Amino acid sequence: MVGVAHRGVAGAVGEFAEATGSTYPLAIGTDVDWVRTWARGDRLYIVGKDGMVAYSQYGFREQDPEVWKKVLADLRAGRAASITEATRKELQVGDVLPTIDMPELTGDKVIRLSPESGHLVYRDAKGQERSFKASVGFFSRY
Amino acid sequence: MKFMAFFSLVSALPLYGDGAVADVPAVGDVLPAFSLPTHKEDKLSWNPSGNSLREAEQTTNPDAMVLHFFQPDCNACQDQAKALEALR
Repeated sequence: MVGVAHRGVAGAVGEFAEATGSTYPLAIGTDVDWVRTWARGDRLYIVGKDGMVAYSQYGFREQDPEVWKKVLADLRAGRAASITEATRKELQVGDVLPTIDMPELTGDKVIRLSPESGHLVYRDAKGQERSFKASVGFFSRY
Repeated sequence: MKFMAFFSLVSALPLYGDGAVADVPAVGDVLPAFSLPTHKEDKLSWNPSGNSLREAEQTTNPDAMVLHFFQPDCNACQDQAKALEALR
């Protein structure tokens, strides 16, 4: 088990180790070219003893550890990985945006973006509503 | 009056075009040799030809290695690290 930070300095990685209780090696790969490529999407790989990627995933879901266990068991038994990537449900063109409730950043009230009667409706923390013809969404882990 | 909404969501990641993350290594690619500093001021080195992982003067030859790329202040990354630690 190896962690590689692709952003931040040693102090931040030390705090990460403390916060997570991580006892495995945590390396610092900030501003390292190959790390920048391999890390896109905060990726996780499982590599076999041949040095080759046997499994790859981005992001994290609660069910992932069961997949990791299966892949590790395969590799330790000398078999090819029975699973090579995590299953993710992603929005596709034509899908309807689900109703999104989010806590506002500066308080504990909820803001909502929802598709209603053919329009996107945004309701702010004060309950005021606006309709939109289009919406641009930016997904991030922050 | 016409409006365009901008919103951001916490959780997912950078996807491009058809949903694939662009230009990331794929299954079958070889993890390159590396030597990186650790937060404990040691070196962590990997040599794929010898299947050797070296940290703080200790060398192992793992049958499999989980490699997690993370950002220290990312909550999802922290959850993932806890899950990895539980797996040890």
